[in-house]
Amino acid sequence: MQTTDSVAAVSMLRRRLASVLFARQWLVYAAFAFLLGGVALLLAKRWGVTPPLWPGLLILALTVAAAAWRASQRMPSHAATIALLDAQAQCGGLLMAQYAVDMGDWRPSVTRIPRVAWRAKRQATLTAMCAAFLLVSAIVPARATTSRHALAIDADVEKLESRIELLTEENVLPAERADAMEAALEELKSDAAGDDPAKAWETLDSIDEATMRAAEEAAAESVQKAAELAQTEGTAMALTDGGLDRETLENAMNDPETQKVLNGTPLDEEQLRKLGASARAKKGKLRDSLSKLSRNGLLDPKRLGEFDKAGELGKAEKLREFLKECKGGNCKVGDKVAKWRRSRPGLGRGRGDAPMFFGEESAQNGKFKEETLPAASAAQLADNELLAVSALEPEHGHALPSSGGALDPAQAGGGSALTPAVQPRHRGTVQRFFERKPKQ
Amino acid sequence: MTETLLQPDELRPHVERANAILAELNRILLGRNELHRMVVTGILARGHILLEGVPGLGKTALAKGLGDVLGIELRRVQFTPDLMPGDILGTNILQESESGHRALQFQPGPVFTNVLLADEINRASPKTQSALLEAMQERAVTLLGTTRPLPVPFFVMASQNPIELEGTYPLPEAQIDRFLFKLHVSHVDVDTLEEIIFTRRRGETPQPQMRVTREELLALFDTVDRIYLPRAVSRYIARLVAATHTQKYVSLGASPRAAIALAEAGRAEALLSGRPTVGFDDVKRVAFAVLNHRIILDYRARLDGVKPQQIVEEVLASTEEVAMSLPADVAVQHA
Repeated sequence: MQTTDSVAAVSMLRRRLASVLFARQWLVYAAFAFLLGGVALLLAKRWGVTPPLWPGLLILALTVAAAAWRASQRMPSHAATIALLDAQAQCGGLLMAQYAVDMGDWRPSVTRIPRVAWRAKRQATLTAMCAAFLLVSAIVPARATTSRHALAIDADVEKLESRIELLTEENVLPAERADAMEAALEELKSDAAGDDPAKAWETLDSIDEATMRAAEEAAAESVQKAAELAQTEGTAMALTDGGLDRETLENAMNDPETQKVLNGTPLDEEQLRKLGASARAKKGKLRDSLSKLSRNGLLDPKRLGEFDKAGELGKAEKLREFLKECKGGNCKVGDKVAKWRRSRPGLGRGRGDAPMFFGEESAQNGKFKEETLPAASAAQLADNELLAVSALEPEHGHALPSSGGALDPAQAGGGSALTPAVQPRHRGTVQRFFERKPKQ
Repeated sequence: MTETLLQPDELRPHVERANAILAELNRILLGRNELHRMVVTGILARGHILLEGVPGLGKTALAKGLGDVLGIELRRVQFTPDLMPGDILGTNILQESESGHRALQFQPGPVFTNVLLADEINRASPKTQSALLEAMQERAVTLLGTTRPLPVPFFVMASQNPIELEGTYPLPEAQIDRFLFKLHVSHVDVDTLEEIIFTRRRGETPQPQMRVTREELLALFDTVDRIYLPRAVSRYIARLVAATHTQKYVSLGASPRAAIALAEAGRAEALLSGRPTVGFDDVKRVAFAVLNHRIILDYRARLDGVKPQQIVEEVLASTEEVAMSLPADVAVQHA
């Protein structure tokens, strides 16, 4: 560049110096910013947070401002710049004198403005590496940085919540237990993460199992109640529809067998009718409740059949016919009621010589059948310890072959399984031992 | 901004005159243009010069030629071990006047001249060498309580032989520091030798074709005094001198007198270059002659064979003209 204006030359040199100092300083700060940004991005992905763009832009602006400030701090003074230009342009002190004394006719000229050399390779490389790190951090998939992602268990949780609600409505579950289960489900819904899916699934399974068990217990209880209600209903119907006279009815009421069915309270005819109607209505309610449980998958439909069977009146007509013939209190009504009860269909344990069965027998003629064991309860996982979580997807199909354990190092027919390795520093000694010549 | 630089019209005749002296010296004595430039620079800076070289290289001829060109009185004293201070400075002699009155009368020594050529100065005893201390620094001689100024201008041009050191007395640091320059007179090249043999019968130097008057010489000194020394150059000089103290092998660095000598010699060099200001290059050009005899090396330098010249070169190379405090990877370079 050709110039004769020394003032302009000084300004130009200062601009060049400022530019280089700023660029150099910015590269340093930018490297730090890129590095920190990359780490922050990785951490954000690790925690599943999507960072906004504005903090990055703000930090970038801060680096620019900091670099400008630092460059201004490192800028040489105006006098030093003039002296430098004087030295580089070989002005022989005239340029420096221009700013200190009256020059008169002297007109210093600067023919060439020196250039500001900067060995930027190291800093540029460092900054480029940091920028590359930031770029890689930005494009790296989230699954590579973390396995923490929410489990898709909402549907399961909702299903269980509706079941718990149903069980609570049907008075199957006590309110405290239902609340505890719902609290566990809420906690699970908010905290369930992919880094420990087994625990979440085990908890769900446990609650599901608890609801099923509660429904099953309620069903068993209902079947039992249905049988009892059917006995009460049948007996009441027979006693009221059989046309018994007063004396025979009083005798029947005092019979132990009859009292066993009617809970020992002597009743008149009207009361018996009401008792029968009440037992029928209760049975119907129980049937409705079990139907709801079955519709919601809490109960095996077979249980409804069992309930219906237990609630049948059986041969109540024969009892009624018999009781019609009883007049004047000379019938043993209790014996007939007991006989009727025994002839009723419903749950029974069978006779003593009935064959034993264990249910769900194998269809493979007694051969071993592989069955998936039920999931362990969540409580049993309490003592488990999480050692590590791999950042990578699990690999399948690379199972190692089983090893022979302690016999691994033993060669076939080699005798002992103990074959210690010879350390390199002992090899010479071992070799000399085996190569020694026998003593003459 | 009250000070005004020497204007081109004022400066030009003095520059021409100084360069004429240099050209005349170059004409009289062949093949030592750089040495002559340093000698003229030293004279313009009103400094004393120590010439070091083996015999026969023309040290005495240089001093004589300079005296002829400058048109000032030159006296030569051959320093010997038995030379006494009185032989140089002068002495009081008892003399009888015509009226018969006897009184001590001062008889000036050869030091009362403009240029004193102290030949083989290291052969005189320290006592005699020290007699020159006051004369060189104060440009005056004190004898029996009476101080007598020396003529103006006054220079000492001393020579010493770096070989045949047996029976010599190396100059003490205090005295060697009073020499502005220590110049090494080396052998001339073959072409110059040929020219000397062909053109100079018995080596006699030709008569000078020009002489400057005493007044012109004093005007040159005044002009040198008006050469402007920028503050940045002053700082460079100070940093150069300070850097001599921190160098390896250096037992004692250059003194403040060296810094003053650098500034004065820089001014004279600027005048020879035709500028009214001292630049960094002027200082660099005279730095070697100013500093090389002022650096005292330690025993390690002797063991490693390091010379003061190497230290000065190292100082010049490692000291930047302007302390910019720039980062190490940033440098300002020629376009």
